[in-house]
Amino acid sequence: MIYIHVPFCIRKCGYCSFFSVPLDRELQDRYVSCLVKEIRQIGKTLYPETLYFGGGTPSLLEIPEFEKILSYFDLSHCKELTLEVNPATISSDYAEKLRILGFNRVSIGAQSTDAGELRWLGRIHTHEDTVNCVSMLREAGFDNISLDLIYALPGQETTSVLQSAKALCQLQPQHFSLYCLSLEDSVPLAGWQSKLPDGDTAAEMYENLCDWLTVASFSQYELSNFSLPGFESRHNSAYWNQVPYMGFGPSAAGFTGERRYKNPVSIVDWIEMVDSGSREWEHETLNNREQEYIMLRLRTTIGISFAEFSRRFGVDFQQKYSDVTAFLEKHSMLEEDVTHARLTRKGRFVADEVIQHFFIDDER
Amino acid sequence: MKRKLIRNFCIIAHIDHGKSTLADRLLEETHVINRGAGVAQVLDDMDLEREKGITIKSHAIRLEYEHDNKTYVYNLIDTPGHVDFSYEVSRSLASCEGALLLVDASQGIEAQTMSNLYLALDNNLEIIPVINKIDIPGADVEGAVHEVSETLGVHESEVFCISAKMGTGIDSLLQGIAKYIPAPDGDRENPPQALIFDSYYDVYRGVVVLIRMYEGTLKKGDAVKLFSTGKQYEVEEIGHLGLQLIPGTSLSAGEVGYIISGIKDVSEARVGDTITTIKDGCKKALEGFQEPKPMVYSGIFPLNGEDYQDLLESLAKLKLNDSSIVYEKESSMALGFGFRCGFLGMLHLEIVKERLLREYNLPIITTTPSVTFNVSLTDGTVKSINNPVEFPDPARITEVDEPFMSVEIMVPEKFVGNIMKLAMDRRGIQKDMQYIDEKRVAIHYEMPLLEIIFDFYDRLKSVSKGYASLDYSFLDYRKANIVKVDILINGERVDAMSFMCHEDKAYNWGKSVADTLRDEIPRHLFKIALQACIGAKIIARSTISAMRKNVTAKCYGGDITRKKKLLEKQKEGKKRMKEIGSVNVPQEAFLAVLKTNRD
Ligand SMILES: Nc1nc2c(ncn2[C@@H]2O[C@H](COP(=O)(O)OP(=O)(O)O)[C@@H](O)[C@H]2O)c(=O)[nH]1
Ligand code: SF4
Repeated sequence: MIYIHVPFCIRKCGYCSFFSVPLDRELQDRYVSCLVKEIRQIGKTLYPETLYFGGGTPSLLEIPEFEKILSYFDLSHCKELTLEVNPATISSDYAEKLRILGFNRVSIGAQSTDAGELRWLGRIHTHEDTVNCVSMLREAGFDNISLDLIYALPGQETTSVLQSAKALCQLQPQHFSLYCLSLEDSVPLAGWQSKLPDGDTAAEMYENLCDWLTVASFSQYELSNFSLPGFESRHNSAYWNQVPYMGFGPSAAGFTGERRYKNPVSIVDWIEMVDSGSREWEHETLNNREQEYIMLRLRTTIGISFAEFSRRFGVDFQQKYSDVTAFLEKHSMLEEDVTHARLTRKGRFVADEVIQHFFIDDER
Repeated sequence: MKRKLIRNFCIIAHIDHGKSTLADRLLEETHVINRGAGVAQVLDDMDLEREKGITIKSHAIRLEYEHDNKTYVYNLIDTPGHVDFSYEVSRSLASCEGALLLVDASQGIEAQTMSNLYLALDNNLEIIPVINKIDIPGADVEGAVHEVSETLGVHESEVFCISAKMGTGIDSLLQGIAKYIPAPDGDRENPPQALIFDSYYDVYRGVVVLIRMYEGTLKKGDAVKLFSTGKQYEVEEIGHLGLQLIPGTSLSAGEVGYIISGIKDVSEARVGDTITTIKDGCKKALEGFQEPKPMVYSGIFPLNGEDYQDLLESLAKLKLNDSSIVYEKESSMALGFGFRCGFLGMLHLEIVKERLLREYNLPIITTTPSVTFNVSLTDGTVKSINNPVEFPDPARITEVDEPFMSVEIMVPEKFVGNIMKLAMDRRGIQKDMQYIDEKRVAIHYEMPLLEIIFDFYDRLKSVSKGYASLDYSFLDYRKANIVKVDILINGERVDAMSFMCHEDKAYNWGKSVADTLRDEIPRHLFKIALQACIGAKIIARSTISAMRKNVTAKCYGGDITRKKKLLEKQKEGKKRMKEIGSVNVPQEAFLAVLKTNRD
């Protein structure tokens, strides 16, 4: 599986902590050449099962640029080719060409349907843009469309979140990602941190959204992700299975199963790294990988498979963590059946807290 | 040394009325230091003292003053300025024949100054009234002169008016000292009798004992003994107190100086003790000696458990210089190993805490302070209890007695209502109230020490906009309904948070601690019950509801490592907390409990 980071946006949204810089044609050319160079440095043809263009705003890349990039991959085994799309950036023509290039899934940063909220977030699009975007994509033949929704904005009412969700649902997407707004210290809107709704309110919104999406026949498969049956994101699910992946582009990360890397979070530094042909790898201890695996699996609704766990780490999950699971089950955070352990509904919104209980010191 | 030319005196003043500044001026005028030499405020030589504006230990210095073709020797003896140290003050005063009563022209006399003044009068000291800060524009010098002369029953013309800052009036004050303060009595041929009025530990020389000779002569090489312990020493060095120690050969009746005699620990050379020679020594000790009596007890625990050994060593070092600290080992389920320490008062406790942090770099947690209760048991025995952990089961108790203090509060009349309300809340019994002048009154209370140690002074200041001043001294023990309140976190008792209090306050205090904990303990995955109990009976409670949110919304490729690190950091944070009944209690919670409202 492969991730490609496209670090350009028309304008920076006030809450965003992803790596992106303002659109700049000349820089974009250098980016594309360097990206191609980075891919070729692997020295063999890559046959990804999933390929994901994220950003930034990857829908700012031109069709020929995609053509060039994709030509370095053998997509014959590719089951999912996703593009993140900003609703204000595409045309029918562009949508059709994407389809022809082989894209079969789009993830649209809709975020909200409320004009005021969109403005506050610093989004460049309106709800109308989202509506048009979805219809153009649908007309071009896309039948796997995901919408992002952000909730828990300062002063937001639970009703307003549900309204957005309902309005977005009318666009008949196959997939939803729900993101609880968090503001890192570095973002322009950081000054609003103290005005974010408290944990209780955010939790209530989350629960309402989950309930409502269930009624609308979406099923949850991860903390923030919901889909119609069969439309789970394969790419993202692979992350939560701790499957090896490669990332290209600035700030992208990769993982072989034992070692990992993270590209520089700067276009210039990244270009320099690619030019020098050297990349810094970090070895991951077994214990670290085990904890990470638990962290990732507990985010999913399937949870941790005991069989898979012992196959990977050579230890019996139930035995090793019996104290932890007993404690968590006592407080209804975790449930177990014969084959799996998973978070309860109650445990999901406090997942980070729950997961820490599994961070037991271990020398491996 | 001509005894007739010696003047031994001290300065009685409230904090900030200018004692240190005046002392500097006197040193300059008598050429002990040069003007502006930068040895600012020589007598306070601990940073902490200067910052808090209080003198922790008394010291003394000798000045030579030329007047009328005679060279007088002035021994200026410094006195500690806080109510916790009133015994030390009394011993300093006992070393003097006179005292300068220094009053800030803009402030007037304060309660503690009054009480020190009474102490001075009890010791038959000649009082020279001095009004300071006359340079301040608009200072009511006349009013201050009037007030002081009324208080002392002297003519207004006998009051000296100075500006320590500008140097105004210093020379006539120096003359006044020669004129009004009597020379010391005593005969150099009598058997020696010396009063220890202070001692301190010097890393290189051991304990330096400051003495006032009452009778006879002590010489280098003399074999001497201490009255209280009977221990014997040899005078290895004897001399005067300048800016440094000035060794000489002997000290005689009336003189003030020091001896070094191989004493290793200040607690051997107790303030107030008498020194004499073994051969032909005096028969009787000087009056007024007391063992240091800690009034306030508290547990002291290292913030980091591994600092225990360091804490042990640091306390031992502090004790070298401060014999009034007492401590013994204590272990707490919640806080691990530490010490139960006794202090002269709350300020003394604060000072020790700060010194541990600053001089020894040791952050500590202290537990709720307590006084010493006398607890009578059904088996007829009486126990002294200052630690809640040792408080017996109520069924075994027949009576509890608590220490009462005699409390003097001086305050502008308009705040009297507030003060009375506060004192009543603190179980104070009003004894009388007197007008000092048209605007200010002195109110006398009897009040349990237990009620004073919990931020009484701060509350007093706040209800009087800073104008009230306070003084108190031990009175007696009185019967009281004292109960022990335990704090339970999720059903588990936190020994370090238990406290003893009057039954009528148990609910308020318990509730206040429970509420403080509610604000200090982060939410957990489960609901946390915080309870205050007397025995098995729950008297107050508070709840921390279960955590509803702690989740990162996004967790894809590039975020994974970062997110894992974030969780590890959160986990690390928890490891630094104390785990009580599967609840992680932050250190701050222990500190906050100390500061909870006690009204
Ligand atoms: N204006 C004025 N200020 C003074 C005088 N004497 C002392 N001060 C100031 O009063 C404050 C307290 O003086 P200090 O000697 O430290 O007081 P202590 O606490 O009694 O030792 C300092 O800021 C001094 O500078 C004076 O005669 N006139
Ligand atoms: S469009 Fe997306 S990547 Fe770009 S600034 Fe906005 S949130 Fe960030």
